[in-house]
Amino acid sequence: MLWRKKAGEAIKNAGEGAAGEVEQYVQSVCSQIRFAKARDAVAVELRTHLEEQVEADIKRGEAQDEAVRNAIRSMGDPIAVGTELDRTHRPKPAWGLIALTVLCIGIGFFCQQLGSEMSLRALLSTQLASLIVGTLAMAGAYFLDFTLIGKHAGKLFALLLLGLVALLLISPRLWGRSVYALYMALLLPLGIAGMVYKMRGRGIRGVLLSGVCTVAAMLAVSLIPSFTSMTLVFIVGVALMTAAIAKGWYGGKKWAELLTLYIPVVIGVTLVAIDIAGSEYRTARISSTFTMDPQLNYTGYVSRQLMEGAKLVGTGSLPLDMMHHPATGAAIDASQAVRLWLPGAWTDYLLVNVIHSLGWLPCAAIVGAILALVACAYRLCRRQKNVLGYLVSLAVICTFILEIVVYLCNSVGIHFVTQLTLPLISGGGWYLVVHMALMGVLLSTFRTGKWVRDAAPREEIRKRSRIAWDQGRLTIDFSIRRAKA
Amino acid sequence: MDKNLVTGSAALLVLSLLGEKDRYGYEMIDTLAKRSDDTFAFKAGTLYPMLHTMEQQGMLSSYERSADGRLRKYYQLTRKGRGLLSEKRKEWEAYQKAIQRVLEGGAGYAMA
Repeated sequence: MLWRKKAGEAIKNAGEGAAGEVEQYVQSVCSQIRFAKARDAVAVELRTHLEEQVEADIKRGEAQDEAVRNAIRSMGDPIAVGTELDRTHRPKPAWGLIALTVLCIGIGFFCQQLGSEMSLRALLSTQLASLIVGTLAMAGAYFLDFTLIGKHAGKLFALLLLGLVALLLISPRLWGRSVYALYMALLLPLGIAGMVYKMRGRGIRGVLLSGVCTVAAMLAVSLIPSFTSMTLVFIVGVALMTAAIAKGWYGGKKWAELLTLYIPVVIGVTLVAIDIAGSEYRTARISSTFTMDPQLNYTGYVSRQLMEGAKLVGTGSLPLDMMHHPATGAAIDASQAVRLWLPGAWTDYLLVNVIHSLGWLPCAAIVGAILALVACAYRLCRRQKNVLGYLVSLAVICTFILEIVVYLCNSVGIHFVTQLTLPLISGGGWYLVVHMALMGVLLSTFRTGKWVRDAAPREEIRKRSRIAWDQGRLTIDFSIRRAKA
Repeated sequence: MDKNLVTGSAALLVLSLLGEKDRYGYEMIDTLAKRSDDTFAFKAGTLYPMLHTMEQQGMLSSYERSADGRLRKYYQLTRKGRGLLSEKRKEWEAYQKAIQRVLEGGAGYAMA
């Protein structure tokens, strides 16, 4: 195996002398640890221990060679130690989250079949390709090293933006919107997370640059055009930056960084609000939400009707006018009625159909499942000790939360934000693939995040004083930036 | 010292050291040796797997600090770890009392 070969080479190249012997020992131990990420962390700890032991023994008067040999002997047999460490350092998959993902996908197929004319088998055969590609994408993202998002943050972000613009040009348009670009928009938060990570330790400048990245992403998404997706990218970007400021990752004065972020945010939101208020189209969209006029808010009207007739458990009653075909006026079967009157009963208005066909409780259970997934993910996210893992997992979680909120709002007729999907449940096709890929990235951060160490040179540097006194020598280094408390 | 006596109480020793303050690996071995007058010569190769396992189980958490130009990994007890420490302490005290009772009780019967 490659890692054993590498360890063997390291031992050979370790060289002569005390340092060489220590290194040889550490490599022997670490060669037993199968999980690569854990090896580096363990090597540093063992090396530090041995060095301190040797130093202490030399101070007590031992010769260097003797001290090194004693230190190594007191550690124990390297193979035995390594095997013990290997046993503890195994990546543990987040089984609960994986189970919830599979559950939500299963629920999704069930609900989609409920609202469509197809049998479950027919539905699955049309969705089979997406399911396979989605599973491959999820597995690929899961086993991929998520730290690549941080290491190549700039390139990834540029790639996502360019990809979005390219898709805008070649993608088919549905209702004026570039379809494939909408899927790409869901991946942008990952790029923003990477960029916020990269801006660590840069203080106010870092906040501004992160903000520029978010605005760039928003502008690209607004070309789709999708105001809702643009808002999603905006909210996720602000959430990531706020979290980074709160945790002190930008490294400067928190209140100054918060002002740098929120003053432009408040100004921007105010300007957008003024623009909306001045737009006849948008104000009509907002006001029609509350009137439930079937001419202006058709789906809201139908949703309201169905919900009023719904039971706690069981099929609800239909209003009288829905018992007739919308076009011909002929009498129709109750089972056909919802599909004919409610567009997207198996996609955008899936939950409304569930409320009518199965009742409020089953609907609550379904929403509960996806919320449980988000809650489970958030709990794991909070435990993350490394910056990148936290930011990336937060980005995915925020994306899911916003999609759920928008979906629920639309289901009750609040339709001035355009429908997004209910993650894993309502979207089939490419939406399923993208969401499964996002789950893969999320699970990947939880799988290996424990052993990822953030390089914190900027913070360390910022804590150093400009003036240092050492062994009778005064050093003044103007290149060091003083960290303000 | 009988090895079995030591390994059984190894976890208790490590937890109680950490209960006093956050420590790093070498510091624990050194402190143990000094306090026990070298009775406990804990092998580092036994200590680190134990520390890492306890961290995985949520008994300990760790953080890194640089000192003297080195990056040291400090361990600290979590709330779960403190619970385990008091549990192990109670176990040890009960064990001690039981042995003491048997030894003292024996003296009463010895001259029969």
